[in-house]
Amino acid sequence: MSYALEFENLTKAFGEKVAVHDLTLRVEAGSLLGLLGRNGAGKSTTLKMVTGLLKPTSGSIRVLGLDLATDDLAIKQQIGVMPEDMALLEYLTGPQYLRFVGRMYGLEDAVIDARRDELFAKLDLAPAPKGLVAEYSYGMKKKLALCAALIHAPRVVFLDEPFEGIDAVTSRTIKDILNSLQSRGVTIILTSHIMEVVEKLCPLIAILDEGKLLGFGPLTELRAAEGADNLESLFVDLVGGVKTGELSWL
Amino acid sequence: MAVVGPVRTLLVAHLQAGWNRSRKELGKSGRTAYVITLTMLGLFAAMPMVGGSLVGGYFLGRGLPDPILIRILGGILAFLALLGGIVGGLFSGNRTLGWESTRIFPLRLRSLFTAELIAGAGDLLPLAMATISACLLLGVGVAKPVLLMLLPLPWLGTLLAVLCIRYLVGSLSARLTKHLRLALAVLAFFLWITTTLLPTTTRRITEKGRSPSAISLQVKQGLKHLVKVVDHLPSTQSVRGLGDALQGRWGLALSRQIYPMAMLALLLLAAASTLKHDSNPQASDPVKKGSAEKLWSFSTPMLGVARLQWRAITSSHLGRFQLLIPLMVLVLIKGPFASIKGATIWTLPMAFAYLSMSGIQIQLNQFGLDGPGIKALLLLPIRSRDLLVGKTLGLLGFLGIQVALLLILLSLVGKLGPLQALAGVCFSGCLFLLQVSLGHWTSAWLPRPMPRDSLKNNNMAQPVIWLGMAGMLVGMLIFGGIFLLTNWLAPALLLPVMALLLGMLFLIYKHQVLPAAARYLDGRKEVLVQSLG
Repeated sequence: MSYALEFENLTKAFGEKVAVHDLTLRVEAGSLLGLLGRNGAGKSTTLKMVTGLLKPTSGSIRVLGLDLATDDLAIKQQIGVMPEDMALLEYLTGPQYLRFVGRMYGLEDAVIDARRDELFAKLDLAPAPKGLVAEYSYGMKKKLALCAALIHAPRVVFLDEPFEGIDAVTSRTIKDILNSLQSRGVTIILTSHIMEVVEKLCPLIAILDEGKLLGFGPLTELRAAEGADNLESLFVDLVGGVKTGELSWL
Repeated sequence: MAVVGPVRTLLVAHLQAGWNRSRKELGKSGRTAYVITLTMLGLFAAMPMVGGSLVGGYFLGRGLPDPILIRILGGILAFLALLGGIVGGLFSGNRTLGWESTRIFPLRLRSLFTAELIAGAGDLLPLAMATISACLLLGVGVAKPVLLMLLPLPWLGTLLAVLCIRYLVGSLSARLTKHLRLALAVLAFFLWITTTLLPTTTRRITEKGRSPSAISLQVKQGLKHLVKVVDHLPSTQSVRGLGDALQGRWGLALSRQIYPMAMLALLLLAAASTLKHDSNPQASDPVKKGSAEKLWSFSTPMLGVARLQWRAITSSHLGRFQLLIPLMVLVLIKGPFASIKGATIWTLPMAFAYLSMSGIQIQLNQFGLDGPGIKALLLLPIRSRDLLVGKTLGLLGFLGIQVALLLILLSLVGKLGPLQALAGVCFSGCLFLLQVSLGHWTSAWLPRPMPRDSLKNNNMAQPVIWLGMAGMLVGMLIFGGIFLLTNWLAPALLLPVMALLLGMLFLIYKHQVLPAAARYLDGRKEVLVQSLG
């Protein structure tokens, strides 16, 4: 069995605060994993570690069989990442940015332009928006970040909150793209707070809370084990229930 | 419930943010190093400055109400206000507080203006000017204790003038840089003035007055003009009031303060109305023009980073402003420096040194203009070494344009031979390599996001500013010293010596600095993401 992603006792601490605690996880190639957790649960920290933006305090990460500590460049060549805050080069135009990213992955100009046109058409960005990325709306930036994550045809894709701030039509398009990628053997790991979307899209679920892995496995199995009706109930039960009550001054 | 005023809230938030950022960035060892640096500066710069001003003030005060000493004291106070205001405005920009985060609050312009002025007083130059003027006037007070009651007036006048001028100059330079063509036109006008009118005047003086008595007459006439100007300065009027108080004419003493106060009120009004314009959200929009649609292509990731760095610099206000530096250098060389005896030997290295200095903010904070985009860079498959080389090439390209502009201008005014020009380029290259090498460390050690749409560059961490100044000083002393000595002892060897020096530095950079800096960067990527992202 080949794994696209392996965490072994992965820990990340910021001073005394442990953001990710002893995480061990293996994701098979071609999976579509939904990584869930409350705010501050450690999802984005985990994604930042696996994409090389943060260094683990201890433990190891392997992507497509390669060790991140020694083969980070080879790994980066094969992964696509859309960070939570997108992290675009805002003083370029959208097409310039994609050309820059594509060239960095060693793609020919013609290939980049053809893929860009296809992605822009699919994500409703055609004709290419004028002006700098800094002037784009939030949704347009999100779409552009997704284009940048996919333009080099990566084998593993990490998407941090891909559906946040996106309209319903584009959201549907993104889901279609992700399903299509998975059917071609691409491994996808995404985080989201929208349970309905994750429930419909991700057959595999991992739930983090306070940096610890509370549950991992196929959604159907997790639901059966916890006796939950849906993903939301499963999630709320695992992370400790809902705080109820009224605000004293309202 | 206690109601906290908005000015105090703004200032407390500003101080807390600054303190928290320093604590986070510096760490324990960094704080120790910083305290040591500040102590050294205090001992070797601040103490003599304070002592000198006190003593100077005491002697000036003892001689009051001598009209000459009144003029000297008034002139010094005006000089401090102008120096602190103009230099502070040019190099630190106009803003100290982050306004963007305050726009959603119901904040009056008056509160914002007051908070901005008070926060600005904490910046290096206004603080230094305020200290010097306070010590100077305190010295006067020690000499003539009867004046102690009146002395806060000229001091407050000087401090507020520094802050208002700083704000106005910072705002004006930011606006000029937004409209590069206008700035170029203004500078071209000054250039024309200095290259045509000044030499003519000088010639007239030398032609008419070859005899020592004629020269002395010219000097006397010049001094008369200067005295007239000084007499009309608000600070001189304020100090003249001190003289009247000493002679017991308290009514006149107080009435003499009306003119400086009125001028100060005008300055405050001008600064407040400028701030009103600047605080309009439309005024601080990012640079939207010049976003050429041309797509790039490059053969290696290194060249891609270089192209990106070039774009980041040229599309930023700071970068655009730096394109004006060659013109400013020429104005200095043709203007004030031209009249200094023996200036020809050091004007050329000074010109190149000044040019190299102008890029130091970007060189010491090489990822600053990337801002949150640093994540996009670090996610790409590129080695740290290539990232650094790319940055260096981008910076070198920009310096190349500046040097080329300077060479063209210098040759147009007939100040340069080809050998000297090449030697100057080598000298500039030496300083560049030194600053960029230092910048590889400081950029990874204490990175700060740099605004692209503002000239405000004091966003740099304080230790980096001190380190940069020290590095620059060392570079100018060593390389400038070699340049001057060779030019003096063996002018024919100037080019070979400077070329050899540049070659040696390049080899050190390539084989020693770059690998070590890349290793350091590898370990600091997390800090870059946290600080800039």
